[in-house]
Amino acid sequence: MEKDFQKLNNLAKTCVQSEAPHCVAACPMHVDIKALCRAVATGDFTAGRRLLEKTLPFAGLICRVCEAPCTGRCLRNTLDSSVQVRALERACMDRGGAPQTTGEWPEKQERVAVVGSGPAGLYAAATLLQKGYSVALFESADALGGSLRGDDRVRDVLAGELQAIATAQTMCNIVVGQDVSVDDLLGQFDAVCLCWGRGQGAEKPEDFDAFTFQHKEKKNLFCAGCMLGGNYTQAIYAAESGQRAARSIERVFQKVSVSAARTGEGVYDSKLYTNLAEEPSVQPLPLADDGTFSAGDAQSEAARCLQCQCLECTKNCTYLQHYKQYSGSAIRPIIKNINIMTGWGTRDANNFIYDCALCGLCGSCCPVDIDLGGVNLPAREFMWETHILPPAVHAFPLRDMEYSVDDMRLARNQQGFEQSRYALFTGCQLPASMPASVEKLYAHLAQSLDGGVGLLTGCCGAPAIWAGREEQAAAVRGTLRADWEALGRPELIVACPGCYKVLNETLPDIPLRFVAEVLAGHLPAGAGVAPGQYAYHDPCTSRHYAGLQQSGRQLAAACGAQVAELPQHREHTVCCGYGGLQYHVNQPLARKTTGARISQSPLPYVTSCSNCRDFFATGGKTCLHLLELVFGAEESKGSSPFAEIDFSKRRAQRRALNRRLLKAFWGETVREEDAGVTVIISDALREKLNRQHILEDDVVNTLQKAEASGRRMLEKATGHHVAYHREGYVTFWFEYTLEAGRVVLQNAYSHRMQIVEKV
Amino acid sequence: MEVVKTEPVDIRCELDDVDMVQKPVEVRYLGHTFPVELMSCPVCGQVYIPESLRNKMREVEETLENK
Ligand code: SF4
Ligand code: SF4
Ligand code: SF4
Repeated sequence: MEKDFQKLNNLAKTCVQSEAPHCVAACPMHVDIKALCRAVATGDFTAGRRLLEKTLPFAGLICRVCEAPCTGRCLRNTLDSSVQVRALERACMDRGGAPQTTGEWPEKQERVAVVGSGPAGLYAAATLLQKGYSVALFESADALGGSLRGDDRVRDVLAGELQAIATAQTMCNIVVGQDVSVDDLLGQFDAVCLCWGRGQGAEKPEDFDAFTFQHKEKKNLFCAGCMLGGNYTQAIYAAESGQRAARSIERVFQKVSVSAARTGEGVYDSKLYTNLAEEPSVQPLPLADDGTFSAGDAQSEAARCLQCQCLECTKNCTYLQHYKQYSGSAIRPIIKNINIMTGWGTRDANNFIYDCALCGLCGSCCPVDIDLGGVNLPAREFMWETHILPPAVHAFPLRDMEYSVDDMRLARNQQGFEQSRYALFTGCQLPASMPASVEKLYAHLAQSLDGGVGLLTGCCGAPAIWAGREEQAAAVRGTLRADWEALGRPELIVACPGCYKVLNETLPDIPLRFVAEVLAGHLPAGAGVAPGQYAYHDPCTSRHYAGLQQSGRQLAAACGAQVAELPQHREHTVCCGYGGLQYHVNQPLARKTTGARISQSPLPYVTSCSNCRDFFATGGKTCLHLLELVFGAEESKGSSPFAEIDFSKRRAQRRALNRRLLKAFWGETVREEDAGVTVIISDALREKLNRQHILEDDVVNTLQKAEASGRRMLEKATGHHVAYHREGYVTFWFEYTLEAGRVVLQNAYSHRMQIVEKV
Repeated sequence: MEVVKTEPVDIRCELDDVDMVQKPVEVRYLGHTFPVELMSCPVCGQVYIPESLRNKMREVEETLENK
């Protein structure tokens, strides 16, 4: 596992969300352009000016002369045209109030000679002064400014801006190399930084380190600006090189490595991804003749900034939105959560780990393929193996799985056949939800396919997989494999996309066909009961199965349905709220997940998964199962909108279906078990039972025992009888009354703690 | 962790036909055992946990689950 943690850590590092926007990466000074645009967009030029003054010395000069490499890399370029950042900076400097001086460091004793007072020299000097060093600024002309002096754009502001280096000792009219040699300066000062023009002096660019600008032999000699050639002949690059050389000088003074840990200085490439697919084009505003914006125009222009970021995962996932996380940010807390030693802190991320739908959507949207489900699932497995995942968390769905496998499983050859060439595999939830459709489906397949169509129910083990219980999942698969072998290794016609995925991944030698494909080729006479328009919902389990996606649509079309696409479809489809057992561990969140999906189109939906159908129904959305297009939608007609998932009813439907199937296809009569007592349960209580994961079977069993043994209590104030019963990891409590020989349930609740009775 | 305790409730054990009384018992969860005081039958030992206590128990359960 240690190794896996390392792998996960590395995975987290590939997330691009913390990368700088491309404009910021291209800006040599890395001005926080996003924040600047945010401030200007709200008309807060003062905040904009403060922001510039913090990162950009001589901002009043730069906002006039900068070559603005940021705009060349602005992502808006691919839509219309880049954000005019420099004009926004200018607007802040013009409208953002009085300058604010930044605090200075305590005075230090080292002295530096800076040679040349163009952008590089000014930045070197300002950076050193700000850090408390003494600076002597040598200039061959009679005033400071270098190339800036002849520049009309800064004529009015140059003198004012130079106030920033007022504490430097200025040495004008001194030509270094003639009046004083570089070596003399090196003797007199603790460091020298050459910021003069090209071709001056004997030093060549290659004498200096290309990043730190330190002379390769004379360790206290540095250079910056034009003499480096290339980009450094442009003002903004020259300025940054001056700052960088100053930082190198400080490192020498502090006796630390000149080159270590200097990422983020200078221009770099950003890997940030931003999805522009939904972005409308907005044309830029024209500048006035003097290159400025009016306040209003500056605001509008700033609003064009896309505020570049990735967050593709969060934009698409309700669960990540709920937790205000993105996949890249979530990985480390997950590792910490499962790595913590028991008793050494709180596992804050438990619920986060349990709540993920494991649907894979984030992975399909992420530019670097981070699938958080692929982190949360092994986290659950690890937690289960190391006994830090409480069994009660997933007890309810797993109890349902056991019921499907142990009590409700059928594995039969078609009557009159010794072996099956095909077998219908229903999975566990489809028969619980749509028993009549299953019955019709099996009858139809048995009739239209040759060679014997067996019937296999039970479960694929998905709930155990999602709960992190691989051992239990393997046992379920073992049962399925044994059944399959007993039927003569038939090709399985899989009726549930979730089962298809699980079987395909875990039992690769079993031949599979998705039910929609089979039905499209053997459409029963009279299919096509529901012509009309539907939006096709791809179950999240079919995300990576193009064949399933296609055959579902084909079958719908063959039934006369007109199929529209939802905005997120096929590999980008969205979970219904059942995936990963989200509904079972966090119902309010699952409701949100369901709600997000059903609001994507006013059309009724059609899908290939009964769980999706049922979850959408809880949100009031009509969604037909493909089988209903083929065999008729009677089972949807009776249901009331917004009906809760009724687990007790689903159990009862399965039992009844098994009896009907055995009778109809194998001539066997199974008697209904006599529960002994009939319990009257109001609708409101029924809802409470479902919410609290209490089955009607639990009510009946408990009350039957209580009534038979007499072991019950009487709460005198209410007149309610009270009985309790422990089932697995839960204790159930029931209050009830006896009215004219009938048992009437009055209240029900449950807890996970176990009572140790003492006599 | 605070000791879980119920208010006295007027409740009768119908099996033994006696009034139940507050008695120390234990609850267990995830390997932890806590002493609690609950209405219990002095004869057969069956106990009563009212719904009002259930929410408090849930909090304790959650704390233990996140340990
Ligand atoms: S849109 Fe905004 S954040 Fe994105 S690159 Fe352009 S200026 Fe930078
Ligand atoms: S797997 Fe699904 S639910 Fe989990 S984080 Fe990814 S998109 Fe969200
Ligand atoms: S999609 Fe999410 S995890 Fe992937 S790079 Fe973007 S922010 Fe990071």
